[in-house]
Amino acid sequence: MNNNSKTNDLLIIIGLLPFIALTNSAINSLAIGLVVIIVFIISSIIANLFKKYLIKSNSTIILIIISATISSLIDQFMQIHIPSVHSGIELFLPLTAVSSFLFNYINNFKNTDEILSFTFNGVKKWSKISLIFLVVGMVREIFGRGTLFNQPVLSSDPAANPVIILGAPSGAFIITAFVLAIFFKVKRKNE
Amino acid sequence: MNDTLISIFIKNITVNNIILYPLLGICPLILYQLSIKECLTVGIITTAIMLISTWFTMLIHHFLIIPLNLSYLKIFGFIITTYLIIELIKTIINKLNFPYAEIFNAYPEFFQTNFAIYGTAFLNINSSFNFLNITVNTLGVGVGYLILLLIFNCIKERFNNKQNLSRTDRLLVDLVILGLISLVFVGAIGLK
Repeated sequence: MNNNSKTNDLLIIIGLLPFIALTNSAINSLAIGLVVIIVFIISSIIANLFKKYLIKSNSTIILIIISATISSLIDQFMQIHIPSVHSGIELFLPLTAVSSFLFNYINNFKNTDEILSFTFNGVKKWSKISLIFLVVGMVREIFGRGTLFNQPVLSSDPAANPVIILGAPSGAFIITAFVLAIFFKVKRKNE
Repeated sequence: MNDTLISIFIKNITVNNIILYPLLGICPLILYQLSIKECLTVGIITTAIMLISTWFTMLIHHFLIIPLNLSYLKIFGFIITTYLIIELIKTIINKLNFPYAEIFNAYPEFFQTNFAIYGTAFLNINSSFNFLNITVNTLGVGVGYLILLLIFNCIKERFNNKQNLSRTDRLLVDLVILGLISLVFVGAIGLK
């Protein structure tokens, strides 16, 4: 059981890895973290309400309809109310609807009766990963662009690029690997 | 806009590779280790799905969403259309008994939840390309995906055969390998 949950944790992390593309700034990392949490909470609750039909039929298409509707709504909301944040995560916002994290988790979710505890567990797991992404985002923004939450930190000159490679996609892979390594080390120590 | 078709194609394989620049489609890549034959099969099927879904989403965008001013249905429409095309191709391949038909069931993440397939449709619509450019662009994305699948899986296989790592350590090593491949591919930025 313990081994299984460890594998599940790893699967969740792998399922959410494409979102490291948005760790080029701390605001984007934070925004996509919140969007995934909202899509996850609402879709898991709706999926649980319709679980009678989901178990009988091909559930994936129904899950996609539910999550695509929610991400459409969030997209519309962000486009109107926070357009500056929306433009940063425009490409990845629709893709939250087809994240394998959602499918794996909600597929387990529809077999349980404890809606609240299961949703809470999912949020807890995602929050940890969201925090990792935020740290990656902060490191990349500070060293790649010299700013933090769009405020100059390293240099007052906006044209200064301290470590360009960290701002580039290759930096995303390498910094994520380092932050995840620290995360796994701390987790192993606590166990 | 001034790019020729060949330069669009080559850029999509190298500098703008779908895995290394917008970072789409990483999760199945890290999750599974494929043989060369499987890589080729997955790559070809993914390219076919990308092409067909791009054409369909283009049709929906130009003849339904723009004329009727239904931009709020864009995400919903594109995702459902792409998913249905994936299912359609899966059914056709299963019915016609193609070799490697079981690949859909063995590696579902490569098709049903592959961000590269869904993302290509959105990237193409956001670009100002015409039909021919979009087709070449999508072909380039597909071939780029296939090439990266081959390169990454070959490195992964060699590495895993020599080192006995746990799954978490392998994830970290995979990320660093992808970072290094990304650095190498960015070197092709001078290609015109």
